[in-house]
Amino acid sequence: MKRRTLLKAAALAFLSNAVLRFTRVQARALSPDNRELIAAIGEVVLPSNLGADGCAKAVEAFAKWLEGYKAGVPMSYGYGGQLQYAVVPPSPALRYPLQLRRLQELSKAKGSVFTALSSADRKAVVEAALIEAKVTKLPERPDGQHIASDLMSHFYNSSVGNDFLFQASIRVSECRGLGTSTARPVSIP
Amino acid sequence: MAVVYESDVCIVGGGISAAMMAEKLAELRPGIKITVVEAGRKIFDSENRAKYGRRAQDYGDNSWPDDSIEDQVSNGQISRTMAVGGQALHWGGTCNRYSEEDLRLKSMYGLYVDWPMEWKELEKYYCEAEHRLGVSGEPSPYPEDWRSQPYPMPPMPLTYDLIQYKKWGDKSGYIFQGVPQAKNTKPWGGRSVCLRCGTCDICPTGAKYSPDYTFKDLLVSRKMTLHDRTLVRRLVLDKRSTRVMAAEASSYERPDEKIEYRARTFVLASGHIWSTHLLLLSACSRFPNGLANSTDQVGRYMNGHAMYTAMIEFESDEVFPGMNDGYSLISRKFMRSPVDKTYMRHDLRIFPSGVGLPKLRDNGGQLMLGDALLSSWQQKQRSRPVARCRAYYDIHPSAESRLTLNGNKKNRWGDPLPDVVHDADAATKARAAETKRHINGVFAHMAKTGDGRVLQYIDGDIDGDYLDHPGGGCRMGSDPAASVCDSFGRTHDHANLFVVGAPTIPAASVTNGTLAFVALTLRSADEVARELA
Repeated sequence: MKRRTLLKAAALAFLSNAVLRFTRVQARALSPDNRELIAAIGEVVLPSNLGADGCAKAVEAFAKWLEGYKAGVPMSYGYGGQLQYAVVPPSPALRYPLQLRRLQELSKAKGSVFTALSSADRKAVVEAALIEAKVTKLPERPDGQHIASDLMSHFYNSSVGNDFLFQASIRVSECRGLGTSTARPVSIP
Repeated sequence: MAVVYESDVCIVGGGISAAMMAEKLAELRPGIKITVVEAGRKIFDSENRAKYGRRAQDYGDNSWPDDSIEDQVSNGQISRTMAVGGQALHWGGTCNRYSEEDLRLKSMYGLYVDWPMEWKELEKYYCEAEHRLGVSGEPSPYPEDWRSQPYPMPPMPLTYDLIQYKKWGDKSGYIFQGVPQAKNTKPWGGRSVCLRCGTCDICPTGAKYSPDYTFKDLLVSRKMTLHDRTLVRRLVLDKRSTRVMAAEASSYERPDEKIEYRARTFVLASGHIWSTHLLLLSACSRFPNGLANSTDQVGRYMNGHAMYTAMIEFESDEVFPGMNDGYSLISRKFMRSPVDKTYMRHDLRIFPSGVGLPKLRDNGGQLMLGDALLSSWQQKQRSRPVARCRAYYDIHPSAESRLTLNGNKKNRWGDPLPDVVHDADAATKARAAETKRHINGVFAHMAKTGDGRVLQYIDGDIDGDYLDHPGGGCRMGSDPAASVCDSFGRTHDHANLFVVGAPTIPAASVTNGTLAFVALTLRSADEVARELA
């Protein structure tokens, strides 16, 4: 039994490490080569009043999040009956290269690469891709169903995205102190 | 040959009750040898907690790495945490008190049983528990909730959002206040003030009480010994008496090694599941149904409370979700029931409800991206905030609400794991429909008086088998034929064996139980200390 447990643990560790390495390679591979393309997707799916700088920051934060992703580590479990072990699933980034290629195929049908299309055509291409991927809602966390919906999910779930939505400095991810939390958050113009 | 460890007191389990027991015994009987044995590991790296909390928020990683044991899980338990600190590693720190009615169900209402102690006695230990944990709170506006001492710390200020929710809730005539919490509003116990980081599952500043702090202090001052990663699997009786002589254990690090803990007094502080389980596992020729079980009471009256929830939208100034959403409001209006009407008790809570992510499709199913999506979200958000209102109501267990050993499911050592099935007594079942009507009526009243409407009622009927803040399995009582231990947790069958905290409660009241478990444990500690004198 001891030997079996040891072998099982070793196999699990090997697999987790392999998945982790692969995921990191994928996430890294994605970011430099495709950053321009993802930024162009961001311009379609994120609000225009975020501005070019805000959009670039959102894409950068998304790429950073992907790089920090650790597939296979145990997931949080709440208080209330969730007894099964669950691990963080494979990185959504693993599915992006295929999706980006498909995006370019759809773009070609419009006559050019995605980044060279008009705004209207880009929007049409992203919509077509999301429909093909059967995305009906934004995931709670990026899940790889489609890079466009994942980018939106990541942005709107972030502290910056939350502040942007509410146009107020809520700062979800920051320690705020007791005294200041009674006041209405400062508006962001 | 077994490796033998001898001490004056062996505490089995390393959660909040164990921490309190060890701390108080070390104070009352300085110099005694205390050994705490915990199956899970110790996670004392407080310097990493900000990082763990952030990863949990960003990626969903477990904020307490390796805090459970894969093959030591029971059907019917509600958290798989098994580590030094126990389930209170993950707790929100809510420290509500039960009320006097919980202790007098039989004498006041002719229901279930009375506890074998008076409220005044328990209240004294509630004060001590609040002091030791460091609870911030404000007195209840309801006079029945009298207290003999003020809270140790001023209440947590309401966030801007909760102020709006309270304004709305108070329109109902039910008075709401922030829940008391084991979080520092001033420096306390060598720990800092809460900074409202919003990651209360793992507090990065140490402002939320966590049992590992107590254990660390006791270890540093050499007032106890901690053996973690060690599972106590069986208690062994002295050959010539009914006293417990030893606890046999196995180490996860050295599985082939036999370990034996010998002590004058044994305290089971492993929570309602594992304390009960250990007694059943310890069956022997003189106690064939398990230790402390000569009257077949061990494992019975497993309890907890069920809940109804409603999502209610209401008119208010704008709200800004995300400013410490774990904090909530409570009204204790319904903690007591008139004796001349159908018994009906519950707490009443208001939680801020976030608006969720923007919708990707409009009502016609068309995709929305960019500005369209934002505009749609803003229209929804600017309309009206939503409150999640919840009421815990009590379930009085039947004798068939049980923990038993599951012969088909075993851990790595071959020990059968526990299996829990809940069952309410006949009176609880008989009033179930009226309970639901009443609570949903309370929600409807809140909606109506607050210019709102109920968007959704969420059922938490008693037949769902999920009971929150559970306890029981070693019910206290004065009659050995109907209980496992006395009001101090001393088992009727074994003079030197105590069970403390959650397992001993006859029923789980209508609100969070941790403070009650701690208060009962502190009372037990006085008795254990007397025994050791």
